[in-house]
Amino acid sequence: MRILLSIVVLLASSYLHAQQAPAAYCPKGDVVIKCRKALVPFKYTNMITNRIVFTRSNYVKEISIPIFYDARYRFVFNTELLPKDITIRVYDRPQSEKKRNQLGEFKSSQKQFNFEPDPELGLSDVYIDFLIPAFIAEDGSSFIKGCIILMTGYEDEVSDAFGDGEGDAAE
Amino acid sequence: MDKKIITALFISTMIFSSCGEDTTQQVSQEEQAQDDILNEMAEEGEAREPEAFYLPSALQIGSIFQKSGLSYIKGLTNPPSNQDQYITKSQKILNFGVYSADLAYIILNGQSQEATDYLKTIKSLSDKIGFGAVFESEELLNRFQNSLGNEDSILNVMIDIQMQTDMYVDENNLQEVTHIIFAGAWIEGMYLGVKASNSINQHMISGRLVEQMTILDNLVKALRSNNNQTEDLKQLSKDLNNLDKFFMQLEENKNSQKIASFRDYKISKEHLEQLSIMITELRNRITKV
Repeated sequence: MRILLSIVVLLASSYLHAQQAPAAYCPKGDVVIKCRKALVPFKYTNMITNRIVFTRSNYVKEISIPIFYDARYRFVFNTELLPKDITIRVYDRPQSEKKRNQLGEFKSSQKQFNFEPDPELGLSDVYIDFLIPAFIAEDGSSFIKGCIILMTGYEDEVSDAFGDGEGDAAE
Repeated sequence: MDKKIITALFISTMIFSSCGEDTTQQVSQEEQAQDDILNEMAEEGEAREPEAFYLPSALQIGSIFQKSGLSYIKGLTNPPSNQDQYITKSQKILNFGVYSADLAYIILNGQSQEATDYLKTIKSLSDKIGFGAVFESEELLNRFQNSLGNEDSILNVMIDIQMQTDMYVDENNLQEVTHIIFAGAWIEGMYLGVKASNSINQHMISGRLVEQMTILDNLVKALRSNNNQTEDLKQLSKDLNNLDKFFMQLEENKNSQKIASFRDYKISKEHLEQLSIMITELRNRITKV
């Protein structure tokens, strides 16, 4: 009976942990402000919180971002809420395709960085791969998680008259 | 996960059935095996965080169409008076998205009076779908009212509303709801694109319509990842998937890899009409009262 109870408790704990509000391990209030400053003068379009779980295996988590022609995009990544470093690569095609070009690579130790796809490439999507290394805790049993904030913005031809798109954000 | 639960329960059953055996070492090995499985299950459960699907905002889609010359046609949007007729939660959520796209279309075309009615409609529906907190701020609503007539200011207010919504969604784990909202907004945006195009802007608009089709794959995946698959949601995913399949099978797509930009994408008049019919039918099913 003790073992069955352990299973139930473990399953319930696992479920409850999975349902845990992200705010608990991803307190991003200040980070969002930093991202928004870095986005200027691009117009905000979206923000997603990518939950990163470090497990006992290496794995790649990929997301795709649709982009539209006639617009320049800026992706602002903030990685300061990660408990361990990872690598982030940007591609023109998904990992399921053999032939793809890497457009950028970043280390999460940079804490915050921007990526702007070249509009001349005429891409309809870009693919962001998070390369998450294996992790095992000191006690050999637990695993950890954190998050990456990705904020995106765009500029259209109206902004061309204002120069190179560098932001005037206050420090 | 199911297999592992069964395996874990099987192992525990075996342990129960062997309680009478006095081989401590065997029990210890079995407990270790069980512990390994449970750890693995826990890790997999954790690793299965909700997948993040990136979908653009209704405002950006509206802006894209507008810059391609989409004209304003009065009466094309879903009338605010319909909102009381939406009974189920799915209807309310989908039409929250529809009205969001309508508001973007109205604002981008400088229709101030209508904008107020549509914002009120969105606020009213937001209370019913659990997003009321986003629109609670009097300051935000006052800024909206004061900005009417000034396109740049009103767009900034709309961007702030979008950002507050995204924050609220994230903090309250409401991503699944936003995928449905986006589906409503996307369908309405496409419907407006189809209906408000004319012989002058049709080439540009059709390129934009086709460009928007590339979002469908992500949208269908997002809807299918929803843990609460109601009949309405299943039907919506199916309809959007059919639209995606229709698009992917078009003759024009065979050379799409060589196309530098959707600006150069030529879709035949016949296929554009078929696409328009499918979008119109889908939109009318969502908004019908």
